[in-house]
Amino acid sequence: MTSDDKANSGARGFRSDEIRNKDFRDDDLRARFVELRRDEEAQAPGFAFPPPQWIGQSRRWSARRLIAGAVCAITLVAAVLWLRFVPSQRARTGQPVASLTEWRSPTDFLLETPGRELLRSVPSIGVWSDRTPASKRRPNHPPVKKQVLP
Amino acid sequence: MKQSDLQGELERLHAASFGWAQWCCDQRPEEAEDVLQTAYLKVMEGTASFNGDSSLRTWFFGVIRRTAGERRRRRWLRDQLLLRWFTRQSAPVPAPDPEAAASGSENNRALRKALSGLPARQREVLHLVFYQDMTVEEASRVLNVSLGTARTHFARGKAQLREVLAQQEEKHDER
Repeated sequence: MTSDDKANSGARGFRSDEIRNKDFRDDDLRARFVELRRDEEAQAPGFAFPPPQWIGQSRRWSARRLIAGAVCAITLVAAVLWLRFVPSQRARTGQPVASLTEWRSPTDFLLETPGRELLRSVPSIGVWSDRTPASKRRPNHPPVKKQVLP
Repeated sequence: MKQSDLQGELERLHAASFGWAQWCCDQRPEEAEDVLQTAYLKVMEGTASFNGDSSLRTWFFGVIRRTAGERRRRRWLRDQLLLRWFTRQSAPVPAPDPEAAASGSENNRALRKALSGLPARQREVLHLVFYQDMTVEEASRVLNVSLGTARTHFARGKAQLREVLAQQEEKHDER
């Protein structure tokens, strides 16, 4: 398709668009809108360009917003960098970090109730004879002798 | 285009621009005036510059639409975020101007009411084509959508508007 063809098809599309817009079936709607337009244009305020002293004010506001935005962004970046790279207080003092098993809660003493040690130990009631190891048990029947068949 | 020529053209377009601004601001005339002034200011400052790619009207209507959108977003941010944050209450949404909605003939009131029930895109295309007498192609440029999308919104909007207007007339006849 050449550029002329494109232009022609574009122009045809535009013309058909115009024809469609002027469709007689739309005349009822068009007439209603024209009436509305007449009514609203009568209420339109007089034309007045903004006073010259207003010119540049919005640019000043934009500049202020830009500066405020830049300050916020720099603060945010500085905070992130500080949190990321500045070592923690413990690491600065050089104290070793306690392992989890050694750690005790500062309020652990509150749980030290009288008789607590009984709950931690398993009481020994005695030794059950049946629990003696099999190697120490005496056999209760005579040893069986092997008989060799002739 | 020289600044004085541009000013003359904008003055000629002023009434139509105000009508468009009013529709971009949900029929609030005071807000529409502010939006229009901001759009003029953008033109004077050179923030919005006309490069001649489209007609001046198409370009300026696009500027008005963007300005109204910026204003709406700013208001939403202020109302929804800050007010809710501090007062823990839902921010009041400004209602359309009752005076503007009630003004004009009965036909105009019915049309405004019917249009307010349509989706924003459909309402905008219908307004630009019927009210501003633009082609659908020009409307698509103002709305920054493809021609196909604008045509779809236009066809659906017309069908829906006719349906709503017919329902209104039926109700009116019953009375």
